[in-house]
Amino acid sequence: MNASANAGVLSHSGSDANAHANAQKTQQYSAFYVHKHLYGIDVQSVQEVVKPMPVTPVPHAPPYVIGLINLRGQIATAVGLLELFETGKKSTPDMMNIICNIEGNLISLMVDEIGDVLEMTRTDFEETPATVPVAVARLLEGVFKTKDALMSVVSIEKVAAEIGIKKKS
Amino acid sequence: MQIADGVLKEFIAEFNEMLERMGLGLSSPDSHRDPVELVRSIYRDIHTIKGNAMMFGLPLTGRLTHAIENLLDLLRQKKTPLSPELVTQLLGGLDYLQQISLSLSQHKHEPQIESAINQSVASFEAFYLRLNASETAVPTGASEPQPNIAAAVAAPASSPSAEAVQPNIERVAAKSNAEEGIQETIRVNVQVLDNIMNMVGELVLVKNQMQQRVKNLHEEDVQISQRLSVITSELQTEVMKTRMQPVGNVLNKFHRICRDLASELKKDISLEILGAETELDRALLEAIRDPLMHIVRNSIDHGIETPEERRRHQKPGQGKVSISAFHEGGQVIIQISDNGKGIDVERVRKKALEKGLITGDKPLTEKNILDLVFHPGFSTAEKISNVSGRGVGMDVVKTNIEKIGGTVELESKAGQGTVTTLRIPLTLAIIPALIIACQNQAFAIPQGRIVELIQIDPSTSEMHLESIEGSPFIRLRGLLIPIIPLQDLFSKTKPFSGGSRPVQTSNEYGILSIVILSSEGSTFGAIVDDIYDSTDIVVKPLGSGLDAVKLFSGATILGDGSIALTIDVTGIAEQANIKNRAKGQTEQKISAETMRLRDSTDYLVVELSEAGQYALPLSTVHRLEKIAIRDIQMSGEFKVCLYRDAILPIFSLSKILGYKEERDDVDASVIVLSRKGRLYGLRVAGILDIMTSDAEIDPTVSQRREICGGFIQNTEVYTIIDPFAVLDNCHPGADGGIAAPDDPAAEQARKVQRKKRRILLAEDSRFFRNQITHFLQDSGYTVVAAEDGLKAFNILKSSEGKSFDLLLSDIEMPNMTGLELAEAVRAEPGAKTLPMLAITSRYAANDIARGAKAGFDQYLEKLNRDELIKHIDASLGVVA
Repeated sequence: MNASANAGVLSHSGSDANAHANAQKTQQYSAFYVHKHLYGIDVQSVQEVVKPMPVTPVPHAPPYVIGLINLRGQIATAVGLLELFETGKKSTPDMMNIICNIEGNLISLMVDEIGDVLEMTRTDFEETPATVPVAVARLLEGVFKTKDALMSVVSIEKVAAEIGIKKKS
Repeated sequence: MQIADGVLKEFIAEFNEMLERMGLGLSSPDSHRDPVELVRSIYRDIHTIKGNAMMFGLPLTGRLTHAIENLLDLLRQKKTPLSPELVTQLLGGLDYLQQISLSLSQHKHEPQIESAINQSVASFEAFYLRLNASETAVPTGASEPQPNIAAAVAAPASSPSAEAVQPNIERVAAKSNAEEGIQETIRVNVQVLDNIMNMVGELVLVKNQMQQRVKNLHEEDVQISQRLSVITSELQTEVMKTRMQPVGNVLNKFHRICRDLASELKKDISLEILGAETELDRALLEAIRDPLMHIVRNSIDHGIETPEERRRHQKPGQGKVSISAFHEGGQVIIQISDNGKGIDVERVRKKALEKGLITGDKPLTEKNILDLVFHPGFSTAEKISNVSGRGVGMDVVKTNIEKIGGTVELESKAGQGTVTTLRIPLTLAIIPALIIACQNQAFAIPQGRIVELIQIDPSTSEMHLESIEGSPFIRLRGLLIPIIPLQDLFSKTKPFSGGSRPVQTSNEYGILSIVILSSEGSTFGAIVDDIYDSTDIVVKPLGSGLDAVKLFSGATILGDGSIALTIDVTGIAEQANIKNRAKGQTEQKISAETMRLRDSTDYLVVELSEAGQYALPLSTVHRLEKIAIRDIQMSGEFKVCLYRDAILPIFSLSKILGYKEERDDVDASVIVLSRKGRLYGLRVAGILDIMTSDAEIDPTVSQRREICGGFIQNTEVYTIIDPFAVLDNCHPGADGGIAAPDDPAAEQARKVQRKKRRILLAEDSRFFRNQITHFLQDSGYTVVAAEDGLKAFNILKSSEGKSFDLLLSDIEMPNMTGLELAEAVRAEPGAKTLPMLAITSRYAANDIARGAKAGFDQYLEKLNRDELIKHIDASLGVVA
């Protein structure tokens, strides 16, 4: 997937002109760390953040499905970003869970560490650099330049598509 | 007019509801925000009532509502505001409707007020004409309808004047009744019910978790928790009830369908519905609607004959289809039976042949043929009609019913009719399940799929796990049941491939827990680490991203808050490749009955160093082993290994047959044979399969003594090896190694005695006849062989009959079976004491019982030469 296609997915920017018009608008992102990198996810799609939970493994599931989590009686699918990003590392049960509700499907993204909610301005947004490994880039919307780091924006839609959640049209 | 209670009740409830709604709207039209919409809504309600009335055959209601509808239609079209006169007129009409509704609920028929209704209808028509003539021509006739109504209502009563006030009273009475009706039933949005259901499901889970936690707490807490538990269970039951609907809701619609279809097909059919009040979860009810429809259509179209045809067969001209629903064993049974011509088994068979569903060479039982009806794409309708024969057939019925955990059975008697039985679980949302453990993780298996639980304790159990090339199986009541170690199946790292490593037990005593499961006609066992508990579970969908995982159908939350995956039995069967194997198994099952007639034998198929398929009669095989090459040592000229604390001589089967010896790998596949209580090993290049064949055996394929024949199955040629002849050959004194030599002198003494004994052998298979004759003669006996029971019986009855000392008979034979033969022989005077032994390739306990009843002294295995001779010796008093 190439970088320009990624940019097109951004929720509020259909074209470059639009992007410019929205330049001053800010958007909030839930920041987290995976594999020592800073990532963010649209705060709108995050239902809650929960502490490490017991995970019930599902035999024969794809490697990135770590298992199922009992979230107060609801069953959420725990998705390991380490595996999804093909880092070669394995998620462990002591990781934090970012619970996202995608069209009624509960997904828990397993991450190393939870950061703050960051407010980002569109002017700081860039397309995903071509050098980012495809395994990661295919799931990103783009990158925000912050003062001291880069925050890659994980597209929950792309993650959903990747793990086979069909969009209800 | 005969309307089923449930339907009528539903109709009345709706009727009252609409009356109330209309009454309310009309009584205060000004308060209504949108008068036009008010008229429309009343129009809709009246229209609905009219439709229902027509359907239920309520003529008065129909006529009245038709008249009201016409008037309302005018209002609707011209958007005339509701004048007070109009309202009065309409309310008058509603009063009559109310009266009808009351009578319907009390007496189940319309009240005797025909003339009153006629007058009311007339007044509506007059009003209609007036309005139609001029939209504004209302004022003068304003008060006119009122007296009309009074008169109309009074009409049915004997003295009109005395009861002129009737309508008001009736209205009040009906109203209070309607209010009561509201308390009895209310209509609730299905979505709301579903939400409540889900939440109760959650509540059950929370309760379960709570119970786990309070165990260690204060007594009071425990009590509260117990109360919570009781209330939750009751709530759950009650909520489940809200989802229950009488099957009549679906069944009663068939009256109409039946009538229409029957007239279309020019048939005379009465439909009888029994147990319409039986309740079923509405989701299930929805799911069985189409299958039921299909079956009923089938009965009408294929089952019931035309009146002429029926009369020709001395049947009443009117055919009967009856549907009965009832509870049985926690399931709802729905039976659809007709007294039509039944299923033409011969036509089904021909059709199946035509479509290539079966091959003509195997005779099938009637039941087998009936089952073919469920085969995809099977339809026997000769011409494609509007009614059936559209290619969607009973297979769809079966699939849909099985999807909801039910079963379909078909029974048919030619000329007498067909009975289709559906078994449906009561509800889907909560299912009973068995919780098992595999690698410290809990899984749930739906009880409906479980056949039985088996524990194998190697120290006590007679049953043990056997394996073919590492694929384990057990023998359960004469059937080979493939076994899947769940642990292997679930292991992520190693995809399941039949598992070539030894089965591990997590249990320190080596006790195996096996759950025997059934899926789409095949039966297999799953080895689990532990069996926990049987419990009701609330099944939730598996969750996103796991669509591709076919092993599980969902997940549930257990009492301790942990998640248990629900095992999809069909899924694991597919994953473990049971399905393909099972297909063969079912095909075998189909013809199992017929195969007995043709003497089937189980064979172990092995691979040798030379190309080709080699088969050994399975009955001769003691065990199958894999022995590490490094454990095999030379002892003199023989290869031996330590086996169960004894020395096992190992011979190469390839070498004995004149081929080159098997290549040394890591392991050697060894067939362990038991002969005269001693064990021998035959090494082969590989163990391929176990198969059952009833193919004709050609004994002439080889002159070698070790090869007793060949047969063809599925275009493959198999060479049958006589393993005992192999042992004789490779080892003239084959009794070295473990075996102790038999006393030659004693054997000689027995041989001399045997010479004087004559044995009559009845056996239809040439191969077995030759084999048995051969080894009996070898041992010294004189043998006369007959090709079937009848021939044997004739020989016995002939002059030489008296000279026989023993009858040895196969069971399944043409012309006269072994059992018939035994009975016939026992009935002969003078043959009452003739020793009779039954020989067969397979037998179970009930076979033995049947044989004993017919007169056989014993049941023996055909190819077990030593056993056979030992028993014959014993019967004839041959001693060393």
